[in-house]
Amino acid sequence: MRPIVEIKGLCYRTGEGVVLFEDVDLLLCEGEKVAIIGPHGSGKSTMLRIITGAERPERGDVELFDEEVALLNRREIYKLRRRIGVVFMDAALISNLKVIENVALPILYHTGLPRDRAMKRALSLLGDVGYADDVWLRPGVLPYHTKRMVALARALALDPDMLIFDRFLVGLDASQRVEMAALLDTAHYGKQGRLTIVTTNYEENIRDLSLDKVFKIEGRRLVGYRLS
Amino acid sequence: MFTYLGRWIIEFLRDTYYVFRVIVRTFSSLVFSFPVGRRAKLDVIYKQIYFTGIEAFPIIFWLALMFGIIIVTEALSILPKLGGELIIGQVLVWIVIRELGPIFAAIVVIARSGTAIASELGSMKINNEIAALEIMGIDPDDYLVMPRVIGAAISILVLTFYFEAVTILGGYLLAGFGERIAFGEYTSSLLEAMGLLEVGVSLIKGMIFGLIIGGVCSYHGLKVGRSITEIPQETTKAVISSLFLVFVSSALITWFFFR
Repeated sequence: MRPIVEIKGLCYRTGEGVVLFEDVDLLLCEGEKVAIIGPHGSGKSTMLRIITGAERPERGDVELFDEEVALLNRREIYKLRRRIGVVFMDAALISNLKVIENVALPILYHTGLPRDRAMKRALSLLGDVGYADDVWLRPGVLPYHTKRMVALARALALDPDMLIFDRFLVGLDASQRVEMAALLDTAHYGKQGRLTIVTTNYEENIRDLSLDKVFKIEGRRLVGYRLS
Repeated sequence: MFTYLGRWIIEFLRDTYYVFRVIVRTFSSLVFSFPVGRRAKLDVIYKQIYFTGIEAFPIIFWLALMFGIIIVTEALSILPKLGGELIIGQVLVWIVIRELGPIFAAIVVIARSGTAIASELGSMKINNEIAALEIMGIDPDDYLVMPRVIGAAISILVLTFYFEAVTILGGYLLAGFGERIAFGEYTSSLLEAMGLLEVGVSLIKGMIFGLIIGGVCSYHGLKVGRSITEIPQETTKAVISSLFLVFVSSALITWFFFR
């Protein structure tokens, strides 16, 4: 399988000087479903930021889609990120845009599609994730779970090769967790299994998920974790 | 005292440099990156013009009318004593078109839209919305800052012209009508005094003020870090810096063209 993310000998220090990762290696391949787990504050979200080129490591190589991230300029990184869909922990929907505009934004911005076709595509994506409310609402009024559904629709808007889901299933009740896990599986199958999915999570949330690999952040390293 | 003053000057110069960079970056984005995401950027520019320009028409109208009444009443009460009613056009061009039109429009825009730009961008930063845009491959400078700066510049340009027209015409109709000067004399005196230079400088001032306000307020909005309490702090700084830079640049432009 083609490597999507390849990290070698990564060391990362926070702005406050705390060493978060030391000599970390990671290989994620096309179509894999991967979870990165660890306790609160262990660096799960930071690892996702490193993968997307939003954080630069102190040492080590990060390759994303066969490109050395450290060698890319700002424009090239932005271009590469069009192949990644990200669902943030707090959804991070654009507050001054309506729900449908949030989903249509990456389509309008990155493709030459006319507005009506971009809106139709956004509507269809919202339908796919089971969004049933008014699409002309501002996202601020939506409950947490619904915001994450909209954020998932937005993340899938450009048909990405990799989907990153920060704190997947965290803060959801049992039925919402089943629904969200099913949505992710549907997205995976929808791309004939070629969609790489990376989630961060707590250990207790991954038991019922079908995953190819699980990494645990332990002692500033990523170690393989066997599901019992 | 000197330490405080020195720190203030250094901070002010540093901020002014960054604002200048924002404005340069805006032009570079407009010239080199506009085709990428053109539709989405145009949406933001239209919205900015609507909020900054069109929604400000009523308040500008009333302010201009009141200001026009004051200026025309004062001019018509003082000028006859000096034996020069017919230089009212000259006085209005000096006061309204050269100086106060662009400044009043700028003050209204700072109060209404400058604060909105700074606080909106600050809250977007806190809520990770800026990070979300970057992760989507959307450069916040291209999608958020450039449209706001350009929208503010276009809006102030139009508001300046509108303010001047309402001040001059409304002021005469409400304060000067039936006084010693006829409308024909009033307008011809005005047109005689108003050259292309006066109108051009007035519009140049409006546009430069718009760039300054858009740049300053975007810069301070994006300067917000992680704490929500920084939003009002940066918004206040944006207002003060905008006012200061607007008055300084107004003085410089006047000195350059009319010394």
